[in-house]
Amino acid sequence: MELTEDDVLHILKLIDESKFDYFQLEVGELKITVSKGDPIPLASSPRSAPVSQSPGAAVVEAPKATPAAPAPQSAAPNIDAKAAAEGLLPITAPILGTFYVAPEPGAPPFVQVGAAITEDTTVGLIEVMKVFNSVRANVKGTVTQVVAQNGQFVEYGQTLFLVKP
Amino acid sequence: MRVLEPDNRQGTARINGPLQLQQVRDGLATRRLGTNLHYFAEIDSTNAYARRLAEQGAGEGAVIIAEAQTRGRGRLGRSWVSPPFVNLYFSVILRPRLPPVHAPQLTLMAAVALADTIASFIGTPPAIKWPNDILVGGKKLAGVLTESSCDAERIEFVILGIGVNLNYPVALMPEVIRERATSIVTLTKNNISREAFVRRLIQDLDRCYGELEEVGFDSLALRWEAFFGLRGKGVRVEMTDHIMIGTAKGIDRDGALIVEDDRGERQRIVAGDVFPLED
Repeated sequence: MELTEDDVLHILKLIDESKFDYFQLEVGELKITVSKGDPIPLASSPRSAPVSQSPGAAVVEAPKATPAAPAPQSAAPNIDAKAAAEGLLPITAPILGTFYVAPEPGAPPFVQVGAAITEDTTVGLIEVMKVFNSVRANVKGTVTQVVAQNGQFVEYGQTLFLVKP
Repeated sequence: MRVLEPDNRQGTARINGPLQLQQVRDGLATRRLGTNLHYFAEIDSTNAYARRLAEQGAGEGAVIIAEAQTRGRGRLGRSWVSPPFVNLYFSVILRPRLPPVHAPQLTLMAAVALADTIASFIGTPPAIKWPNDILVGGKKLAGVLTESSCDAERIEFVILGIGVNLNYPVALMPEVIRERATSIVTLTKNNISREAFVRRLIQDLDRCYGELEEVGFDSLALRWEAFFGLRGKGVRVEMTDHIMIGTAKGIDRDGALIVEDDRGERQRIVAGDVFPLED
């Protein structure tokens, strides 16, 4: 049995109109999970705040940081098209993980709109499994938009900033 | 700041004074790590110094050790406890020939090496708390903090930062951390030679790092899981926006923690703090 896109949409409509909060269907290798309540954690979406920038962490658990703002699920889908149309260059995520605009909570962001950057400018951090990776601009110009938000979980290749060359 | 009195039970080993680099070098048998040792009585942070060195082109294997860190602090400004001459604050520069997606494997590799080193000093295997802390009896003995610089194609460098409580009795630690931390001297009732610990750690890191590059992550992952104290047990995973309750199943080939919830759904955890359910 195969499900078409119309079948899936029909299932979603039925669930939406039903009294059920949670629905899971497996047909062969196809698996559909629907929740009307709390969001279902996606395989790659769990995230946490960074704990420390120092290895001297042997005796104290760092307090958890709270992202400055709730994380949106993703950047606007047309951001890359907008960038291309306006001649802007994207700075993209080299790895997936939690994106941070500043080296630590309360610190000034690495860059803001209007900042002049070069290829070697560090523009943010992405944390995955306690590895804090510096994101380098790899482009030269002026930051015109900070697309990803502090604390947002970003995918590989997702646009973080737009830069006017 | 209180410096501990010398303990003469270790014979000729120099205890609770500055680290003796020559004693670390003596008999050091490694392929790549520890070729350059940088030692500071005090520094902002060994990771920060290592990063500056790496950005200036320092080669792989340089090790930075400091007796005290002035910026060893948490992200919300809570100061780290960093007394001189008793603990280890250590960073090493790596330039791995691995794709960026495998950078987290280096943290788990370092945890295995650190656990091996610690086991050789305390006589029993410690537990690894996913992905990077070393616990004994549920209390923190050591931690690994990894920083990297990479683009989409390659890792430019990785800094492995390691902190270990060695000859720092829990009884002398600030009250705020006393319940959550432990140290080798508290566990074994004996001060150890910090030089011997550093030499062994560099050698274990060198061995495990070579294995990761040459053989891959699989055998290291098995050893990591052997140190993982929570496999098959109930865990609470605290993430920024929610908490997950489930059963820890181990790690996958990327080092992500696999947790199964009560519906039988398995989730890959790539960021979050994991605690035993009874905590």
